[in-house]
Amino acid sequence: MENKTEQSRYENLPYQAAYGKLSSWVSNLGLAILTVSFALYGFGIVEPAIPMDQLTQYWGLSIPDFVAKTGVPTGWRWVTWVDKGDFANLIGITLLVSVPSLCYSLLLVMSLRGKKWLIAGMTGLTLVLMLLAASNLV
Amino acid sequence: MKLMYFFLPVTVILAPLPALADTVTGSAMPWWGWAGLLFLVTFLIGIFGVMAGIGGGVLFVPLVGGFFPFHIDFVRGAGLFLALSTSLASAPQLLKANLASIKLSLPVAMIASGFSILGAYLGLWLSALSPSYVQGSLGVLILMIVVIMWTSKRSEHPLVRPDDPLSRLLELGGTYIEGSTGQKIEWTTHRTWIGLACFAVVGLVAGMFGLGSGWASVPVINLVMGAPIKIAVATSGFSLSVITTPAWIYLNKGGVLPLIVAPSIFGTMIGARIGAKLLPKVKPSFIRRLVIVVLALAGLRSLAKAFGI
Repeated sequence: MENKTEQSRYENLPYQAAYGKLSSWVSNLGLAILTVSFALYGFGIVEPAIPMDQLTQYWGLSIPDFVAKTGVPTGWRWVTWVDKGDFANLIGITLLVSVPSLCYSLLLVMSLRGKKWLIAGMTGLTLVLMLLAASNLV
Repeated sequence: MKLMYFFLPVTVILAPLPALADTVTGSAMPWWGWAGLLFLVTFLIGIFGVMAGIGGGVLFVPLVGGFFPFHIDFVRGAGLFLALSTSLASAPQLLKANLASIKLSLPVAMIASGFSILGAYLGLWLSALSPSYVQGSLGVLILMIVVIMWTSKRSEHPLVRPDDPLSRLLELGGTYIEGSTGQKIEWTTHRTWIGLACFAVVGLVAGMFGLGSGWASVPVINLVMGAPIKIAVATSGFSLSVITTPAWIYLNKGGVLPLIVAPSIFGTMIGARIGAKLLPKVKPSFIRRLVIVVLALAGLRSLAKAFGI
């Protein structure tokens, strides 16, 4: 039993490649979407919620003051503003920041299937922290 | 190549000066000018960050916070996204080569991400009291990082006592192939409790200032926990994507300006790829010294801004 534990201590987790593949796929997708949406925003093809010439007056404000002056949505309400050039960029940005949560979900499923309870416990706990931060509840 | 050695450092130092001049004179540069300048600065940060072996966030926040007209709240938020993107760009290769270890990253990132969420709230609270508190503490922190970078050593393969109970329980260890010799190397960690306690502090600071964590997590994993330097660098880079969890908080509070975040991500990612290609041709010690000087200047600038100078 002792030898088995010592041996598995030096073994890499078999889920590393799957984690890397999912991470690569989703982050490339997020970057591609961000590139397109930023081009549409930057070249003025899609009208932004905050006109560019006004943005320069607001970006020196703190976040609470910026939100109060511009009336931009907080939390997940930005989803209803994606037809605006500036908020369309949040699709790619959100996809990028979601990559660790998606990969941890995969890791949780794989470690539960592999009966790696300690790995699953740490993964689950971190995933809860990520989801709490994403939920806007904390 | 010699010309480049001169040109790049000078550009890094001089590029933000128009912004400084602008804040002093109050003249208005158009938005696209700022976006272009931001792209240029983050492109250089990407090159130098890779060559100096530190993440981009630690250079981005003090430089952009000190010399650009954006509020420090937006800069810290963008810093987290920048650190996240660089981590995501390198993770697949590092995982495939078994240099980044999920087993080692799990406890480290769990502790650090929890404390980084606390740090983000602490930073926003301090900023609401007065942005100069954040600028001042950022300046002091950056100068401390300069001292750490100047004095810290690296250990290729530290001697590790394999009887650490927590390391055994968590099965912290792994195997990788050393590229230069083709040798199979087995590694494990020790002093795990102390290492994890250090990561609580690292996470708090990373979330508070949007700095990323490579500047601290590499020495902690390598020198405190005893993992080989290659494992420390790769696992630190990989863990960063989880430690930047507070990026969600900035996003939810309306603190993400695409005009700052998008050019910064593009600039850093392109710069980091060029930096990785230039890496074999440059002297790492020269680049490291140069980055230390730039960081020291940025730290002093943050302090000056805190005191309204």
